[in-house]
Amino acid sequence: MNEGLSPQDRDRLEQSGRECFGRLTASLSHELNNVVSIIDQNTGLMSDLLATGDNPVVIDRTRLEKIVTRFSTQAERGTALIRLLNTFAHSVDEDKLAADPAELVRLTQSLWRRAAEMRRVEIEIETKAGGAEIPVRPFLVLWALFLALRGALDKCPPGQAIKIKTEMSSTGPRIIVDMPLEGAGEIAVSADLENLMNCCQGWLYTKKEAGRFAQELQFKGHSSP
Amino acid sequence: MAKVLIVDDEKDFTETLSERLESRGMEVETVDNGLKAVDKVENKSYDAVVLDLAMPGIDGIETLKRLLAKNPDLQVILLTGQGTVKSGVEAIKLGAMEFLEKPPNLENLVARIKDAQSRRIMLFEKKMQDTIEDILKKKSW
Repeated sequence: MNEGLSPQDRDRLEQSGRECFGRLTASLSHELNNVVSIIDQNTGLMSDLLATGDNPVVIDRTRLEKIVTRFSTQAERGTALIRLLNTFAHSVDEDKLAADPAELVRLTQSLWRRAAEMRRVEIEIETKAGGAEIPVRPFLVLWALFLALRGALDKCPPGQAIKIKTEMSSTGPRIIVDMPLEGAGEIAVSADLENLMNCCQGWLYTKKEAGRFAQELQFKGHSSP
Repeated sequence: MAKVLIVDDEKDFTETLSERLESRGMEVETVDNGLKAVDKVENKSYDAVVLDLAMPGIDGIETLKRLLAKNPDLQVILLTGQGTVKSGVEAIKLGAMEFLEKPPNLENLVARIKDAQSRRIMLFEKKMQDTIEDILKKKSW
């Protein structure tokens, strides 16, 4: 996938791919750790209540209901996180050579939810290109979005939203990462993103207008039957 | 009775932890972000602040800096996720009393809070002694 790049550019690009995998899985594992911490504390609370020495043990119904709700909420949250982690892990599978841009944008929104929350930024999505296909491994598209979003998130003013849109152009599917410019300062486009788009036989366009900055990831592709 | 402030954006975590610490005779308050924590320590004194590293807005490290700028004697116990030991070490360098990995072992956390309370009393006594010595020096002839 990386023919035509200088050895230095290739090394740097490969490093950014590892960073993408590392940062996103780290973010998910931190959130899973919070889930485990809550379950752990509530297990401890149950033990505390059982250790009162009363026989039979008398536990206030409202208190018990609260603990049960916390267990079930965290079990649901943990399941969703594990599903997300699993989908992301399988995005590198060798046998997957077609990526649905709408599905990957939804996945990106979920993968980046916590990081965006940390910076008090919203990630909004608009997926119109249903049924389109990009003939690359899904991870490459997630990686390209990682490179586009990393810079955008660092520069997006708190309280504002980054929009990710999918569109179908005459040459193929396009994913647009669009953010407000006000107060954002200068935004440097990642050279790794340009190289990665070349490797995917796509193009990267940037646009600054009406107080907004957009990175357009144009892929070659088609509509699936 | 030790006075504790818990700072974490995970409401289910802070609620449960405070319930457990209260059942061990502590007085506990909770806030869900760093800015609220800074406000709290401005108006009230605590024996220990239990602070999560990863929070929306200002993170644990930045909160720690602001808390210690307001009150350099504050005893802060930082809770870090797995794999963020580096941040824990950074926190100690900045003046945190201790860092514990999340999920924390409760008995260990209780012991650290008691250490924090003892340290605070020691610091207070030392300050009082320094003030008295200072007065005696000024008044002696």
